[in-house]
Amino acid sequence: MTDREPTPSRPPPSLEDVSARLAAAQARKAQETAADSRRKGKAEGISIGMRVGIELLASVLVGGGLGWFFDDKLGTSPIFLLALVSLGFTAGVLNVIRLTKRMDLAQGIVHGKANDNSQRPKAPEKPSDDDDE
Amino acid sequence: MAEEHGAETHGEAEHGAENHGPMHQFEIKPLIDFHVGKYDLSYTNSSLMMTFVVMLTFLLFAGATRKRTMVPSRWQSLAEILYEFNATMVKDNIGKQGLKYLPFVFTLFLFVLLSNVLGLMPYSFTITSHIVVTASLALAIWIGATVIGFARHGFHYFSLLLPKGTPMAVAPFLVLIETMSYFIRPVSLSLRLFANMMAGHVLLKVLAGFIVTLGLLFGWIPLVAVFGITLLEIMVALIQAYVFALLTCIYLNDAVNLH
Repeated sequence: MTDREPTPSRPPPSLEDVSARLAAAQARKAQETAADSRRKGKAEGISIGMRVGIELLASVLVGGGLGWFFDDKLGTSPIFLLALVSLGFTAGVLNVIRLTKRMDLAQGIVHGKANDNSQRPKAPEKPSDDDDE
Repeated sequence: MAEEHGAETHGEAEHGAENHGPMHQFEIKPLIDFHVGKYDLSYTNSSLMMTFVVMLTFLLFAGATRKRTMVPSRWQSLAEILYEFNATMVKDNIGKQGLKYLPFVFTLFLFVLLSNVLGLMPYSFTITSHIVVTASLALAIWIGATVIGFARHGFHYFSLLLPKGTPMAVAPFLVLIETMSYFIRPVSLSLRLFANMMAGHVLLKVLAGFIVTLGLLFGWIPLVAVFGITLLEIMVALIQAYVFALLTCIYLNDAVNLH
């Protein structure tokens, strides 16, 4: 691999040649990682999309269930049900907001420790797409 | 129970040769009856599938690590890719000190993954389409993470319920919301996997029923749909396993690192 003394049949490659090849290899590598991170970002997006709906449903269900349980035990008929359903819904919305923040982080919009260097190149093209979700 | 169910589906849908409604596939059939007191501990088709999943996992990794080589064979590299995938996920989400939970996360991932994927095979049974199974897994994860959190941080773990930098005015309200959101975790974790697997399988069965009813003339339309949805279901099976393991990591991260 690393020949200290060049073999006589092949003259040592010129520095320009080496740097050109190195640049080409680096460009190819960068392209590969960009494609890789785009694919990873897509998978991440699908997985987050699947989580959002259930998050809202589960929050209302838990709120309703707990509220109904407390009402049943304490005999305060609609009070806990109403309070905890709204509280649950609030928590669900908060969770969804956090999820989308996480997605922004994954897309490199906000600098964070997650996927920091791999995702940064595609940051500018994403925000318009994200705002209307 | 089984007879009731059969009668119901017979009433509303008489298209099948027998009364095989779209929900028939989720029926639990005891294979070996076993009762302890009032508890029914029978070995069912679900248990059989679980045994199969665990055995397959074992065979996969026993076979892959039998001859360990520097240049891996295809089999060995399959195992290595799975391992690396999980190790990266754990490292990204919990950090270096989270690696001691890797065996747990990896086991969960493989179990859910293989249950989902093997459940797509005709005549097999999808373990994860039962809420009992997913809820047991999710509760075990949730309780486990809570115990780890309290063991590591003591009463300080309660500060998870109050995010940093909260103004004192809204703090009581926010603590309520955060408590709620903590209790939502196991429900959303189990519901997501269960709902995705069950919905997909019901959809497939319903559309497959249309193929038979529409016959040769129009039957190909649902056939194409079934083909497409099968591909979609394979993707869902993979993604759901990933999401399940990822959320386990996120919950463990809260317990280990606390903010």
